[in-house]
Amino acid sequence: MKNTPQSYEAEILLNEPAGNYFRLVFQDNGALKNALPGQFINVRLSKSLNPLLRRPFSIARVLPGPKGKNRIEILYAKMREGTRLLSLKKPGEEIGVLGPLGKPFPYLDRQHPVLIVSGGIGVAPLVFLAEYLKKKKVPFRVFLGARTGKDLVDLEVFQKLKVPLYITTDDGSWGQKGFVTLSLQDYLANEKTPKGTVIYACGPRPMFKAVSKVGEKFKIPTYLSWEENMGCGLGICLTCVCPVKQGDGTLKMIRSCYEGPIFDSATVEWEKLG
Amino acid sequence: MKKKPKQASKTKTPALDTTVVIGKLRMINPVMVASGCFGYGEEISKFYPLKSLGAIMVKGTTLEPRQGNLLPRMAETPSGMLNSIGLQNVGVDAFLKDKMPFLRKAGVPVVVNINGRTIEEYAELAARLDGQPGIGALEINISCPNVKEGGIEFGSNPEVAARVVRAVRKATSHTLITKLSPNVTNVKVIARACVEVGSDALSAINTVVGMAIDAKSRKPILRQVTGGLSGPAVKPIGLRVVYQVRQEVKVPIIGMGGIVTGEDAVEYMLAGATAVAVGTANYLEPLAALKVVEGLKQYMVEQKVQKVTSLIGALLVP
Repeated sequence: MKNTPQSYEAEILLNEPAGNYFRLVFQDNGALKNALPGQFINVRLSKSLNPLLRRPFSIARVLPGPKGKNRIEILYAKMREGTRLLSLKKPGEEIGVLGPLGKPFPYLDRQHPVLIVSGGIGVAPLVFLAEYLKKKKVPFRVFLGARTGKDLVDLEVFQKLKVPLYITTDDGSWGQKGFVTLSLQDYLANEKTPKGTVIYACGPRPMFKAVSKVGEKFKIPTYLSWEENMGCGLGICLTCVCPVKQGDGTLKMIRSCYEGPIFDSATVEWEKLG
Repeated sequence: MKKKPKQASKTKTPALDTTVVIGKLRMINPVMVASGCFGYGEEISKFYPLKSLGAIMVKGTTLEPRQGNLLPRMAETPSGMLNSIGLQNVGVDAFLKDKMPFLRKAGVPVVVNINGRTIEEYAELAARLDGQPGIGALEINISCPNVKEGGIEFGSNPEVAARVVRAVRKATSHTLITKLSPNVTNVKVIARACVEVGSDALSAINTVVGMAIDAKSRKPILRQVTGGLSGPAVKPIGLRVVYQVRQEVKVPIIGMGGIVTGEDAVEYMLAGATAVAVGTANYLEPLAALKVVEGLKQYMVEQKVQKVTSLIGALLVP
């Protein structure tokens, strides 16, 4: 299955607020037809040289279109200059898309039931993952965490999948009050997980650490969809590396954009992070 | 009316001559890719055939493998970026064993950028690379701003720079290119010192030392505090250095710093460069270097330049 990255101009079809975040949908030229959950695109915001670098975004949804020309959804938080500029783009305008990039989640088959754990805008790659797992009939559960109920972006997509859904918010405005690791821990303490179960998580760094500890405690392999500033997304600039413990005990700086962005949490050297 | 393609081709202007020669390094065009901005070519080879390029300057190579600096290693700045990678690379042995076979097969000349902590390490690297097929030249990096030992320390003083070049010259028969730093008071004296002891060519510029600060947290953005600035923001500095060095020495210069378009490449050649290297632009667009080749050819057609070498130093100074 052809899944090599392409660089192309894509028309924006929709770009609007989704709760406290933003949702952007663009027209794919076919390059992302075989993209898999966990892969990402690197977006050039304008043809000018300022801002200079692309911005990476997880593929959040692949919305089928004719002849493999799907519409692609990305979700983003307005953080600094790049995402602020992106939020000003209007339908009909173009963005430069480079993708699909990176490696997908490692196991996407029925022998590996999945516990999806999401924190805030970390939901982006997990929407695609959930829809994909449903299609492939892989059993999975979803643990969604957000600051407030308003931050539960694409909640209705998860609800439609009719899978066990556990919701926590920091302020208790939706679901259980507390962090997402609370509901994950509760579940694991009370239920026996099927053989082969894996945790796939995405969210802020403190949540990554907390999820990793839960995974370790219950001996469930935990994979994190890593977020890091990137220079190129192509594997050539070495700015987005993650410190990873090797089998022989040495430490290796591994590219988030190329070997990543999915990392086995047991191998991440937390002390050596930026 | 039927088209007559054969007749049309007869009326075409003579074929463009884009070849350039730097010592033993013969290139089909003057467009190279800069060290550290292209890895070892494997990733970009999925986008276009590497043999479309004049040469590839591979990631800065050291005797032992290095993991580089801790993060953050990068800060975006207006029309540029600061990096502080710290020479993460596979080491010379793995380079020869794992990377060179691919590059030889790709059919593109390779320039190996070498970095030592000591003068002896530079010489040892040169000796290891001597006689290796597929290597068109060595680029002596005496200007890396992001390592604690070596790097820019060697390139800031003419006597020390000359000692490095002399030691490398003794250790190899490869064509030698010395990469100059813009972070010096007088780049001409460094350039002259390197050429006098056997550097066959010079490349300029390495990155410009800079820093970025987050006002709200009152912290530097880079873990190492300072880093090297690259991208379009540094092009004026690169052009100035190439122009100054050209006044001082007659060896070929490889111009680099902020090249994005074919016209950027032309500007460097007019300032005195024999060839150019595309660096940061590769990050913006995988086809960047190929587009510089195409842009350069388009310029030659439009400006009726038949031989690319006629652009070298052809700046019209009033």
